[in-house]
Amino acid sequence: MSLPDIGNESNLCGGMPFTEVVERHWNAVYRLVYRLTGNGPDADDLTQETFVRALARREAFRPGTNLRAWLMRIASNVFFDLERRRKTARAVPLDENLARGDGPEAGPAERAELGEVLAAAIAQLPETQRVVFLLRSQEELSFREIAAALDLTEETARWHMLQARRQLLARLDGQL
Amino acid sequence: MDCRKVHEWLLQSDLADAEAAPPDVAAHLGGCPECRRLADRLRRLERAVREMPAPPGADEARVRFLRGGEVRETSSGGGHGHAPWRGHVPPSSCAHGHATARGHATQADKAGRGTPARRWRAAPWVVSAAAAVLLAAGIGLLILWSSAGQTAEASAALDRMVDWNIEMAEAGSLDARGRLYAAAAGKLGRRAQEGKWSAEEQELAGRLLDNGARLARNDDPLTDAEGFTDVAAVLVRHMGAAASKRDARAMQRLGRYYACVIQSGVNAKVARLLSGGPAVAEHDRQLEKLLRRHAELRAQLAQLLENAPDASRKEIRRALDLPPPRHHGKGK
Repeated sequence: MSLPDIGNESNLCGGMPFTEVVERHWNAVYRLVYRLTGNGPDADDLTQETFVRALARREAFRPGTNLRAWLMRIASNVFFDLERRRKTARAVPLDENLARGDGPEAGPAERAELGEVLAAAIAQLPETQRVVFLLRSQEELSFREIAAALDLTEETARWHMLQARRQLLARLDGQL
Repeated sequence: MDCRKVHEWLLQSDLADAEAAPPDVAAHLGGCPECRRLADRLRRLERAVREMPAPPGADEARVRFLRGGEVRETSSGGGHGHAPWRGHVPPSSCAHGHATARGHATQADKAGRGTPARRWRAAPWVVSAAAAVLLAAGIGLLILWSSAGQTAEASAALDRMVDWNIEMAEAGSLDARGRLYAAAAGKLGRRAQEGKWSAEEQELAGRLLDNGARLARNDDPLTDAEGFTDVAAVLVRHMGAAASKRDARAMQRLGRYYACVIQSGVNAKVARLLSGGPAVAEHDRQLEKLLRRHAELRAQLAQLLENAPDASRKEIRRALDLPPPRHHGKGK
């Protein structure tokens, strides 16, 4: 797939040239999908896919609404699509191996900084909990925005957050 | 309101507006230390999330995307549509059979934007302990590893990953590491994901990719040494599995990787640390911990000696014959 339209200044999204949308929001999307997948190669691919989809669907964005939340919604769906494909292919993503930390070298609580321990703990959350947790804690979306992004009710989004926090606190016992 | 309901409220709350808790929740928190502890832990969790380091590679990926080109990487030079790093990686390198540490031609990027190494000098006992432990583990280990699933493609990819880790460790600056990472991480990750590799090969690849990401974020020698020690621990564990399966070829490869990792990834970094300035107590503690890990790895190798086939025992004994490290007090 080629990307001939990225630099075309007539491609607007929410009244903004698309290149500016990329400049402003790329790192946030990358950060989200990196934490979701746990590895750089997937983050590269998913971030690109997110902005390709956003470019293709730019007419669907309602000006005046939260552009970042809209992009996060696309990124979340791109992530879920990837996970569905992987489950179908019965592959074992590297991020799951990293997160499990099997073997004697897995002793992150002793050696790694809290950030690395936390990243590993987040990677072990079920997918929807992981997405909800990161959208709220890292990207600071409201529960209403999260619910809209994931086609959930606000109550369900909060329930996923409860489960995620409970699991993380249990895994990080002694670290926090 | 009881603790269970308050816990549920806290776990589902926005936290940013905890001060806007309903009156009954606020009243309970005022009188319940346990619930206040939960609220504090949740705030620390949120802070820890915000303080997580930025993932590497985002800026390079954005630049590639905006320059256009193929979304999926196709070129052998790495990168999406272009190779931003023009440094050449020599084909004959550590994992391909040259077990000695070597430099390589990097781009002349000595702009010094990378974080300078912490300069410190450890106490003499640390120096001798480091020399004994680290030299002991790097020479000619040949223990069997199962070759089931060890395809030529997996071998070549893992060779490349080990070399890539060493190249980043030897790069002149953090920027140079970042370019090396950006140039190859995607392609190497895909090779691991899409190849029909064994679980052990996948695990080793995952550890090398993880170490690559860590090297791209930080160029502190002690952190480097710790990361490579993590890789060494995986290699020792795989050697154990191979010993039981009597796979001499796999053992040879693992032994070569182990030598590369220890010599170029650990020994070289510890030597750099020891050549620096005044000692820092925290660094001594971290180095002591690192040496303990290596002592544990030696113990595991010693255990392997019991199970290794006759042809391998000589090699293991040679590595274990050096004196073990001493950990008591500073100075002698």
